[in-house]
Amino acid sequence: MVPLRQLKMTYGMQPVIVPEVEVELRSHKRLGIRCEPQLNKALHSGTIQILDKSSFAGLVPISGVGTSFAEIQELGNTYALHVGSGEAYSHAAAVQLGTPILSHDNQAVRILLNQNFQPASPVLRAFDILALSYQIGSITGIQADQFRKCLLAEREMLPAVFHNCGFEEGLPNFGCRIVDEEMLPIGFAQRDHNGAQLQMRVRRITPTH
Amino acid sequence: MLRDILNSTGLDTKTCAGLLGVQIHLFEEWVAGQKPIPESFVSTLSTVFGVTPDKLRATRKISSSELGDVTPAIWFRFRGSKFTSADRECVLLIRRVAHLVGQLEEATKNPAVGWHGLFEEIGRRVDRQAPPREQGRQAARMLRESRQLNHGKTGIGGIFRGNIRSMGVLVIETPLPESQIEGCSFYVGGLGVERPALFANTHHSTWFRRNYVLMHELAHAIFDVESAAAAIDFLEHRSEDDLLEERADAFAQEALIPREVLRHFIQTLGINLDVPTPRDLALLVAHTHVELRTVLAAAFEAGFITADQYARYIEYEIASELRRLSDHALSTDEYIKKIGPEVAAAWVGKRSTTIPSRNILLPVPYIKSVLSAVEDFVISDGKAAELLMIDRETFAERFGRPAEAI
Repeated sequence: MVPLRQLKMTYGMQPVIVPEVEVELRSHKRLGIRCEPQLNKALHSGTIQILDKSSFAGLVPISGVGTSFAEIQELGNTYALHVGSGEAYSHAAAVQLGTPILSHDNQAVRILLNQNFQPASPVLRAFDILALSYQIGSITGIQADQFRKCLLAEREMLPAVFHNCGFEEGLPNFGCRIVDEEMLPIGFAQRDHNGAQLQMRVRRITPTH
Repeated sequence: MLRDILNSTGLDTKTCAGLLGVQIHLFEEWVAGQKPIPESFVSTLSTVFGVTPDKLRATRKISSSELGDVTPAIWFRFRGSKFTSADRECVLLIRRVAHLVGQLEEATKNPAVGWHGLFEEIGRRVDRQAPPREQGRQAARMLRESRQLNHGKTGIGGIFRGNIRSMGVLVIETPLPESQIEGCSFYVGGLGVERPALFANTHHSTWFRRNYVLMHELAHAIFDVESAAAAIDFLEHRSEDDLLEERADAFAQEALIPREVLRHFIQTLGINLDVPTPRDLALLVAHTHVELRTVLAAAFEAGFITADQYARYIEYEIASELRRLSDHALSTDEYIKKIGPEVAAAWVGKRSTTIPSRNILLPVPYIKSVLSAVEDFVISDGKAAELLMIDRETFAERFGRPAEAI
């Protein structure tokens, strides 16, 4: 939870999930029971918020974005014909709000592109947030590696560079998609097919002590 | 409002949550109006329960006198003690499948709507003043002609499911052991995208019998369901509405085993119906794809046998002969043994759903269409899993599609 809290407190980025993701997390047959207490805790503390009709106005400044909740839903309905509900409404929200998305479903991005739809950009992975936390010293290399081992044990997705080596060992070969521009760089900056850098550079809203 | 709609279905909150694969507490919050129903579920619930999205989103509690105004017609039909919870659960799941089929068709831009024109044409051309059996026969002839099922003078049991599915009719065959329903038909899908759904209970039923049941239900779908919301046929007792049942029976018989097809087989197989052997009758069943009862009824109606012969021949034991003549007479285990486990592995265990609390078997052509859409990059694996009502991990295991690297 530390990396997500960091996004909010240090960088002023509020992590949100769409209701469809909440349904998936709570209803997952294998992991639902295990992840629910963590989810409840994160929602209760406001580390994560649910982006629904009632929270929309509070999360999105009226004058800032020029989109409505209904427009997000409409785009989500279209995307949901082609990709899973959680992915569909998350991409729709991120596209409409111009925010990054956290997702491990690369295939969903390709399907949306193939259908001439715009996916969210950038697409961050859990390891990007983890690496950012490590970069600014919020978590240690040992903690990050525990997370890596945990995902491996659960047969969850993790970037190939971390399959057979520890977190700190694999980090130089990891294409970090979000970095703190004021700190020493980590990993390397990936580029897309057009040569554009796939790295989001963020700055703290609170000064470094 | 969702609570009122649930009450009208006769299903409790826990069962509904389980069938929809939604965690019970979350579903209860939707039902209690404590949390808005996510948009993706509004459309699902709307189709499944047969109410408009606006009614689902409404927060006002309705009075008991208004209940009749919100109860969808389909759930009226499934009220009463003769229906089990399993029946209602199955109806809900079939409606869910219909919603998913609609989504797949929309994603692939391949809507199947041919049923509408055919039903309309039959409705227009059938002489409604003719005796019910004649009405059924007229409609069956139109079906055979229009869908080109009358070519080759052969049994159509192996092809008619695919044929009617291709015009948009949803056909579901799944075991429902706790139910007395043998078959039923009703309309499914949201307003403007409705389609007929036919259901046959496979529990203790043969493929030959189900051919008849499905055609019988198709007749109900053509003639009766629009006004009656649903037609339901039970295993033990026949519906009291003789006109509708006579018409549906005649339709099924004429569609599956018209006189010329029966005569063709009697002649080409060299069968003497004055002194048939059990093997002769088994041959007729194997070739016409209908059970012995239907073969004999058709033979009697065509004047090929007498009532006395019918009564004698119906007692013939043909099961062992039939198993030698037709794979469709084999049990699943016998069939797997015959084709070998490797060939069987292609489909065994791949049709069942895992997300809903009650498992149903999805039609093979539907599963193939989902996989084809994945191969064509039209839908993602995650969407395919949703459409098949299985979790992502099961999808990866069943169809050999591990998740992509991140």
